[in-house]
Amino acid sequence: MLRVREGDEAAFRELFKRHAAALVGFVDRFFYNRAVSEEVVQEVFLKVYRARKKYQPKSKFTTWLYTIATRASLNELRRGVFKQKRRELGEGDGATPAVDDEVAGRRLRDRVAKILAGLPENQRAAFLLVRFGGRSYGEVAQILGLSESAVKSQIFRATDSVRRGLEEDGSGK
Amino acid sequence: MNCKEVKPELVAYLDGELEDPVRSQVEAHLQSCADCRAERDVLAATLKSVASLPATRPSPNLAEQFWARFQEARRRGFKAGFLALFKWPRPVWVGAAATACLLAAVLLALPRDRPADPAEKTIAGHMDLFADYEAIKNLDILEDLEYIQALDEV
Repeated sequence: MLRVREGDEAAFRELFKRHAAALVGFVDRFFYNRAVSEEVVQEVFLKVYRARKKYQPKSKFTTWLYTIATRASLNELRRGVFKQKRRELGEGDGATPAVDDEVAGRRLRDRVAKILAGLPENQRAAFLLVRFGGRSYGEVAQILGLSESAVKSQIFRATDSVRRGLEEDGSGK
Repeated sequence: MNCKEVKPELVAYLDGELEDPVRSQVEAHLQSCADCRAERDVLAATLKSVASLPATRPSPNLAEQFWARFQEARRRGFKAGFLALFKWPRPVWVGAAATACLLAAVLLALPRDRPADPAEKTIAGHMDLFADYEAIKNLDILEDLEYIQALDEV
């Protein structure tokens, strides 16, 4: 990222290559729609490039990247614009092509998505950052501007909600 | 630690995010408490289910799309992105908000169920007369018809 900050486009291409796929996997947990998620991820990388000179190597690049991605995703959710875009992009039912799109897996995914959609914003974001973004509690605290104990509490509550939700419809194990 | 204190720590414990001395205290409690062990196992199964959800893979042309967008953004000086279309500049927001407030105030000020004007009620009750509007508009002449007819006879 330090090379990108100095305007090295090849380094930026390398960053995109290294992180874009994982970021789509993470952002998609907010939208459950690949086309919308890719739009958000592209915008995130443009923001990274636009803000490259502001980058301070005090924290890891990935923490910064996931901060931008989380904010962009939450903003999109708040605006609800993604629903319109989802229609425009022609994936109206929210189905995302999956690796093994088996019925049971899809049902579990949809159930988890529904449970998470009902959670408060910070709980949902903290849960997604840890489970699908691979971030530590400490990084999540930085990303969401919370204390680590608050993050721990948010993640416990989110996990407990998922557990209860899955138990209710018999998807839990 | 007792059960009430241990339960909120279990997810962090499973995530390997607890540090000593709390981690050791949780472990010691788990060894002696079957209820908390059962709780830990259920949470572990939940996390395993969530982790089994397939990850979304990007479409093969994502990079191509992005670099085309990047070049376009560079041409514009990185001033407007796709999502920026939905982010109006502040003066526009302020103007839109002020207009919305004004409109809302006007709408609220209007009486919702104002009593009907008696003249309007009369007109509404005799809409069929409009079919004969040409005749009716000269009604004042008709009122003098007898007089006019008499004039003819003269």
